[in-house]
Amino acid sequence: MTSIEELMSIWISLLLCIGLALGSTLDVYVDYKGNPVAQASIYIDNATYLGQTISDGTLNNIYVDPGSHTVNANWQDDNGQQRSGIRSFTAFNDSYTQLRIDLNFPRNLGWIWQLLTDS
Amino acid sequence: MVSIEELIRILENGELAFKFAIVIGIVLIIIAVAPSMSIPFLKIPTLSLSKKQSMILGAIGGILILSGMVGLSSNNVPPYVDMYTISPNLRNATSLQSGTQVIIYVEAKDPDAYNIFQKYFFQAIPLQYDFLVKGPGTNNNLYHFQGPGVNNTGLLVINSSYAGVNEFYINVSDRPFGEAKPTVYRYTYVINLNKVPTLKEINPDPYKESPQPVNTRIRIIAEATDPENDVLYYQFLIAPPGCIDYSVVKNWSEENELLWIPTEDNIGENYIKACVRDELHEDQKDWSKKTLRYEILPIQ
Repeated sequence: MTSIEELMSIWISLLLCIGLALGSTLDVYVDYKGNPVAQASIYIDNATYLGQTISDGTLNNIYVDPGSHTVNANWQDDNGQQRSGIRSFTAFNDSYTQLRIDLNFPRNLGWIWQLLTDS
Repeated sequence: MVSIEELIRILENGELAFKFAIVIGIVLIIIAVAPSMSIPFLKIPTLSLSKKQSMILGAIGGILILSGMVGLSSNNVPPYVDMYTISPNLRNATSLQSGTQVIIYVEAKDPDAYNIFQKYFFQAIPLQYDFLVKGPGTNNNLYHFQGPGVNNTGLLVINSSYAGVNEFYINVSDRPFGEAKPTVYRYTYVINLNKVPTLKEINPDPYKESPQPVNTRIRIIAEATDPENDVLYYQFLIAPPGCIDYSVVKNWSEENELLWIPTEDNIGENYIKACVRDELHEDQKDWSKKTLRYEILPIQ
């Protein structure tokens, strides 16, 4: 008869196999006006908190399941203004994704667009 | 609102002529609206401008300022990649099978996307992507495996020649390639390809060396090795006397032994062939093979 320990071992092995077969890795980089943003809070699929970016603006080696995902970045600038960015991406089996989330508006005449939409 | 830093950045990156036009325009407007103020600064004799002359001077100044601003805004900011996906994940040192398709998907953004001058007057085109690889598989020369064009997905089929260090380049441009310098991204990966097993030898049972009489039970044993210790599969074939074609007598299995009981049809010179492969190399060209000559004698 199979013991509980053996069953647990089989179950863990199965999980590891699934993880190795389907694992997908995500690196996030958060940018504001061309500069990396530290301490931006990163969420995936609206609910799951992944962590905060470090000084180079990155949060690396996030394991994600294959499929479509949405990543949010939230950050409070020096003036206390809350800024956020959102990106969607699709994770494939055994893939690696680098995602850049911009918290700023487009450059050059983008400031007109910002003026019109930032109210 | 636009920040001071943003204004400084635009001025720093803009063409000198546009900045000069703005300065001249400002000076002309000052002269037009306040000649008495401008004279001590310019150290020129007093100008007595009529209303019409002032209006013309002001209009020219205004046109120069506007032209300068348009020029500065038309300064093309290169696009950047904001999403990059590679599958399979070549960052992990996993061994790949020859024939694996590497897919690179990128999305880029053009900071000028909202710049009406870029869009309508400078005929910005949809972002162009170019995918290149440089490594042992390309004799260390750059090879375009996708693009240049609007397709933002690059596909590259890896064969055994790609084993080693490979550099992947992704060029993105908002102008036709050749007309402007693209934004270049470089990713370096070490590609490890799964190696094929090698059939070391094929021998009969030590007590059943050739020749043997008909109806003898003979064990033929194939010995193979695999660098990654993959599960190996063996196939055995025999070409009986007078035949040049081999027939499969034991199809692919993990057993490296064939139990062969020769019949009268096998009397004479037989050739026994063993093939070995692993799970990742189903292509016949990757099989390792060895042949054994075996003589069968009639019953005395």
